[in-house]
Amino acid sequence: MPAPASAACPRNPPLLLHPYFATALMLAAAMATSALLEGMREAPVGARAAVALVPVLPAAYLVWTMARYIRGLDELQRKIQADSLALAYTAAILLAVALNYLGKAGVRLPLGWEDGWGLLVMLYAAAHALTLRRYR
Amino acid sequence: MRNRLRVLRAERSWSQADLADRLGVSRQTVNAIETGKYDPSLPLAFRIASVFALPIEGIFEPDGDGSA
Repeated sequence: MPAPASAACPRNPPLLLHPYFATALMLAAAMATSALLEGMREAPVGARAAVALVPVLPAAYLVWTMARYIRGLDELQRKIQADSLALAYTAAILLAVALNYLGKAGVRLPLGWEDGWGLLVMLYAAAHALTLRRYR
Repeated sequence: MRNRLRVLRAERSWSQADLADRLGVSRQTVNAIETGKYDPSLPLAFRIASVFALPIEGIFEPDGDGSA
């Protein structure tokens, strides 16, 4: 049975198609948008909303590059990704519940919705490192 | 599940990277299978058997207690 190398062989995507590049693009867009919005306090809401949504474009590009990257992984690498996401997702629920009840107890942490995606990325990175250790 | 992958690979003087190329997987996956940390899917087990020109049961065998 021939190996379907084209389907299963892990590829190292070129820089412009790599999720890391897309992430950097999204971060740059987010920072530029924040700076632009600071200077648009008097601008009409429509214009502010248009600028605010600019990071959505690189975010959509990130989703596409990530999907492409995942399709290029082999079965163990996909399992590692799935395990990492499951672990990070569960940890995020745990964190959300903890923060919610801390809030009800009057403990206000300096965290807002804008910090959410950064926390998710950190949880995923930690979960990925933990999962990788199992198969090393 | 135990396997003879490392022995079979050594008999052919293949590196893990050589075998990974032939199987269309990463070297990490070959290493994880060899060390028993990961049991391959049935399609990958068939590919491994094909690369070594052996039946699957000539490469993989259940653990002593009968569990996979």
